[in-house]
Amino acid sequence: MMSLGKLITLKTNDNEEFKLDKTVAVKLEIIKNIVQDVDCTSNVIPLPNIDGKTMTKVVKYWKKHSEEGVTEVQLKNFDQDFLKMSHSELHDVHLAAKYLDDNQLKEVIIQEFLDRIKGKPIEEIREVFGIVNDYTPEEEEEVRRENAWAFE
Amino acid sequence: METSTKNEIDRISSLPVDILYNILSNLCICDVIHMTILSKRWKYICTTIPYFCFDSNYCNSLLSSNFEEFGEFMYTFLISQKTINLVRYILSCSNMFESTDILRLIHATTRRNVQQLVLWFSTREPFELPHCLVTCESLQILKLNLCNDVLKLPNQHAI
Repeated sequence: MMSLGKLITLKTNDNEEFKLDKTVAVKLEIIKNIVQDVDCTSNVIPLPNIDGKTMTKVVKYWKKHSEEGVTEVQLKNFDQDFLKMSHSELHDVHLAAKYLDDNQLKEVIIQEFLDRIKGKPIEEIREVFGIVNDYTPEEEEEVRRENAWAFE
Repeated sequence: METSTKNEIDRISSLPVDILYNILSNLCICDVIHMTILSKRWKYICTTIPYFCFDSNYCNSLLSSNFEEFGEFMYTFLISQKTINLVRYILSCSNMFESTDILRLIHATTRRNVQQLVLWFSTREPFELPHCLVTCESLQILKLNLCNDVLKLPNQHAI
């Protein structure tokens, strides 16, 4: 194992490099495994599934959440701000968190998706997420009829 | 949302099924079913979801006029997807249902290999824990709140 405080480099699929303190990086299962398994003389870990734009967000999240002495309130405010991104960006960060096996970040993203859906009228959900209604009017009527109790 | 646009492609629908299940897992079943009219894919997701959550405290207005239909839906929801195991079933219905209805639902959840079962109800009479719960091998968590009704355990010879 390398000594604490050493930097490791994460390299995205568009060759952007992120230098991270190892104490931050090894909190993630996948990084820990790579660091242990692969030869780490170079200290560069390739991330073939993640682009630089997305990784910038992920690293920003990690850094804030591993800051020493950061308060709950500060984290809450940070998260609120952090999640102000488009659905596709949110989707990309989710895939990255999934690849990196970061459960905390995954949960945060899923909750945000849910908050964007909850209690919204159907038309608004379709519009916000760009969901294409592929029912014919007759089919849609049939779906409403099947569970009429939910639509009255 | 500052950066979202109307023209954004539909990426939420293309998320893997298990993630969509996860997103919907904490929603009340009334909201989940409401989303069946979004699109065909959403109908599939919403009707095969292995999570069920219902709390009568939040759906009073909805149910006052459609109570019977809803009761039937609850049962149909459980029996229409026989092959999908239920991860979590949460039902909080105070005294909405008779004990026979509750028993029918419990039986149906065990046939769907439920893992987590949370029930909060009152039948205003002693409630006997059905034997199928004792023998349900998939069951990991069982939480019962009978609102001060008496719980009778099944005959011990049968356990």
